[in-house]
Amino acid sequence: MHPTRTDLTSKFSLIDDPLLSSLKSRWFSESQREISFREFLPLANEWFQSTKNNQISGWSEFPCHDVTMGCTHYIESLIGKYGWDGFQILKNEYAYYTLMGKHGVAVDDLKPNKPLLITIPHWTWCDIRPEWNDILTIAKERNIDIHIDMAWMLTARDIEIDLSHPCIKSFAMSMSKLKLEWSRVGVRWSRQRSMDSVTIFNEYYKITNTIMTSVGGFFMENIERDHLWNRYKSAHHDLCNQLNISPTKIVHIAKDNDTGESLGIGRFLGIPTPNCVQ
Amino acid sequence: MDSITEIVIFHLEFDSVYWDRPPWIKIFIDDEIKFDDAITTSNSIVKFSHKLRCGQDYQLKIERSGKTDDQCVVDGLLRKQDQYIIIQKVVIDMIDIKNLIDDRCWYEPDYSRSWATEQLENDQILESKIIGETWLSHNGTWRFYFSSPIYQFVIKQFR
Repeated sequence: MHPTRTDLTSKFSLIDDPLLSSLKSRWFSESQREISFREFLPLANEWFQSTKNNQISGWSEFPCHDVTMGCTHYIESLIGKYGWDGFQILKNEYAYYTLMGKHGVAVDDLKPNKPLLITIPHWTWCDIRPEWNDILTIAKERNIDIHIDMAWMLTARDIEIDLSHPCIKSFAMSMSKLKLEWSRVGVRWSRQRSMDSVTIFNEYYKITNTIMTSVGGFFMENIERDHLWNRYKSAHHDLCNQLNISPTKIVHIAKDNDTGESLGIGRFLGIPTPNCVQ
Repeated sequence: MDSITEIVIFHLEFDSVYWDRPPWIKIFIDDEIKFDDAITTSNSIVKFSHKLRCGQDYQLKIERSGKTDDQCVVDGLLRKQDQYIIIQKVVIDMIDIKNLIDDRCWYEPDYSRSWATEQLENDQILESKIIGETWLSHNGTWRFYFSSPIYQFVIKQFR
């Protein structure tokens, strides 16, 4: 398949990676062992931190680790705790909020004492939001707790973030971007654990849903944290050169050189294209 | 912040009823005083934070004072004027635990001497500890025991 510029749209398909596909096949065809929440959490904590392509610091400020059913579960848990009007988001956020009727505000309009849910990295910039330092300053001034949805981290490289800022109260990452939407699993890191849906899930239901931690643990034992970028870095750049678009820090997204529009290239990776290293 | 401590916000709401002098309360976490003032309006909110050590037991204590015999005006069997305070809400770490505290809190009234004498003369038994009471009419001390982390304390109440 030889993609052309006109094949590219703003639809962000994940990469059909052969290794990920083979792991899925193996999961269903081979005998598997159960991995409990308790066993999964230290494994996942170490695995997520093992990235060499990103500079993430401040992990030690978040000693409470909980299993989630992906980052949307993390978001829903926060929404359940604070109420639909009890938290705020910025403009251009995850479509989930808009679909549910929640609208974002400009950075300057952030309200005091109201928790902020924010996505990092963000597909619009394929990076941390450019106003990130302003957001931290305002959060400190206005007593705003920050909770970070880092669902896209597994697809990212060269992200530098210090999570130790005192306003950052929790963050979450998930494995879904490894084509694991068939068994979503992730981790929430918190400075301190409070009562909410994720906490109840980890306290009450930790023995009932171990299929997802077993799948997640199996993948972690068989794939490195930086797999997508390690495997597709050359292909990403080659495809961008070939189509005269700009590479980004998100493996399955490129940028239009003229408009800056984010373009999904995931469906053209994972299959041989000219000059791509597979 | 480390894994063995948590900073928790306490949010208490009170209704205050009086006609002359308002009731006065002091709120403590163990021996540390967190609030010391009169409660002059209904739906009064008292909010404070406290650093708790995980695995440790704590006492939330409210000392209610300011009631003298003349603050309760009785005409025969009709109580015409009174001074009292009601604990409406106890919210810890955003969890309203009012429905959990019924059997975990109690009030230790400090009965006025004249009232107590009158009751005893009428063969009434004066309780020294009223379990689950959140209506603080007499002066006295209200106590509620809990432990940290709060989320585990709450979960344990349902097990």
